[in-house]
Amino acid sequence: MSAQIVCMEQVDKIYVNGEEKTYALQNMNLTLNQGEFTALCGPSGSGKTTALNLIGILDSPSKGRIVVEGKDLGTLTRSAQAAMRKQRIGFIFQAYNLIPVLSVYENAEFVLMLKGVPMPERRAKVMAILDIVGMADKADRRPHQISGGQQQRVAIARAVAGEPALVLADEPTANVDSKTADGLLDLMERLNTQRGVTFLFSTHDPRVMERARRIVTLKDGTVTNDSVKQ
Amino acid sequence: MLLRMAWRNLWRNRRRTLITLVAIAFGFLLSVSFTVFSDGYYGQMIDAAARMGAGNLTLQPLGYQTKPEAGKVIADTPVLIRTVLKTAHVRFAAERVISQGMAGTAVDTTGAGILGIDPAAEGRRLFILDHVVQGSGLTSTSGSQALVGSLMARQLELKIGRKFVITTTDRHGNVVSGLLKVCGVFTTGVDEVDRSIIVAPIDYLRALVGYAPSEATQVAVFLDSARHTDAVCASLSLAARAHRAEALSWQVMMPDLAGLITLDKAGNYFFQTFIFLLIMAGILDTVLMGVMERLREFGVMLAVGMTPGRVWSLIMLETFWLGVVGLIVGALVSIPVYWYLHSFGVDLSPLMQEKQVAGGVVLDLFIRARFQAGHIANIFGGVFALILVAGLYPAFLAARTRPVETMKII
Repeated sequence: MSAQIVCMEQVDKIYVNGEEKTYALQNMNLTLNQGEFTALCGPSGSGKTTALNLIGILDSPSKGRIVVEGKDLGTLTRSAQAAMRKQRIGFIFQAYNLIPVLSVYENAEFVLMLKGVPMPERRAKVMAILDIVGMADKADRRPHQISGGQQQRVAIARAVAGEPALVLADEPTANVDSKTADGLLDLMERLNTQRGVTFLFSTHDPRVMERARRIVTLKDGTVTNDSVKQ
Repeated sequence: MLLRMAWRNLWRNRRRTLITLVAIAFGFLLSVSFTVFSDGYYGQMIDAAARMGAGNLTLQPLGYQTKPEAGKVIADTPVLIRTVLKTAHVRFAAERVISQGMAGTAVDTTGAGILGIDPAAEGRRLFILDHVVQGSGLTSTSGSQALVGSLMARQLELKIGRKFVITTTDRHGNVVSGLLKVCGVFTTGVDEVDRSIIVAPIDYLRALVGYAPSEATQVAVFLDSARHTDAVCASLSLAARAHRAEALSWQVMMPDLAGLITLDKAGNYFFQTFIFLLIMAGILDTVLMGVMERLREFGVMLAVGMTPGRVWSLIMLETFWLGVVGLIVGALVSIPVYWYLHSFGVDLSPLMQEKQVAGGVVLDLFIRARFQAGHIANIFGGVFALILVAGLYPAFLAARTRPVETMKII
């Protein structure tokens, strides 16, 4: 049996605006195991992004408990949260969010630099991952010099370069054409199967849902369906 | 990598960065120009004060400064002068005898300060000797010739070749008189000097007041630069003690001038602080705008594991680069300006109606800039520190970024 990576127990996320309370998540329960390739689906406003924010320690729940790799996130200090994100979680954003002043190589290297990986090891790892994502020949380019799909490949490289236990991907194919989206999904699938990286997507994209081996459906902040493909 | 990122971030908005650099460079230039000009001005004032009589520093009998009496003398002055001349930064030293008394003719009498000098040794260092407008300077150390101020000459109706009587007290307190013949008249522009000073041969005055040939009232010490005054003063104090004398700086000898310069410097510091604060406000604006435009980027950095401390460091490094480049540009712009102000100087006399006198010194209105490394280092350090201070708040804001708020997406 695979190790449990994420465990959300009765999690609420409430946004308060004056006297009005909005439940982004309500009594959400979710577990993710190592090596899963899971899609979090649901209409806009269903709480997908909020769930990813909470698991990624970018936000904190109003109620309930989230455990990532055995650590209760509610007990972590701000610097411990940053360390946890750096060491164990990778992020892929819809808008790529590469650092514009860094080259493709440096963007992929960024997390390794934060982790304090020595230069020779860093170089080997970055070149290996750029090779996997097919961007090794464009290592010196800046983000504005490559296409959106290529930027997302670099973002994937950045997310997995640090060998995280979990990669959180928010609508990773939303801003690219279908051919590029297929390529990105192939890439993430390959990283999942070959490197054992756990992926959790939030998505509307039927292609992502088609590829995912587990689909968790959210509606009004609550899990309404959780199915594993055979 | 942070240093590299900071450098590249600096050039993301080239126009804004260039404008800020121009502001830093201009502020630095203004501050440096003002400082080197003021240092030149003060230096000339101090040099003029030294040449007015007392030197950059003065060796006098103990207690003479507070209670001048003819009985207080420095013994063995040639020995003391030899010691003084061996001291670093000393360019010249001259012994003098000073006596207070009266000068009189058949027409009138007036209070007078009589300064006994060795004309050959003094050359034209003494300001008065350089401003003889009638007749000639002293020619020997022992004759009964004298230089008188033009206002005294007018009051006593003295002309070249006329004789007058000086009355003073000798070292034992007895009233003594002597007869001097006017060989020259000087006009320094300082009324007090032109009205009351008589310059006579040192041996004549020694004989009049009963001093031995090796005794004097004062040793005026001239330095290669006034900035060494305190150090030389300290190093000569022991030698002076052996002769029952003390070393006094020009600040002690001419407190009015010292006060005037201190006041003027305080005004300069205020003005420069104001310039620095303006620079600081400009930099704060630039860095803050740069930070506010990149909150999303900081959110990403924090999301992928960068610590708030490192984000803070990144902004501070950007500010650091801004300061380094700004100061380099400022220095490059300031060098030719300094060169011009030093080589060609500035003549302020067309702006002044009359001769300017301050603190008992005639001001030379042709001013050349002077470079004092310590002052320029202070400007470098001060501007750089303020630039870094300007970066603190934006850096704090960047470090406090909450990824979830700035990205609106994981």
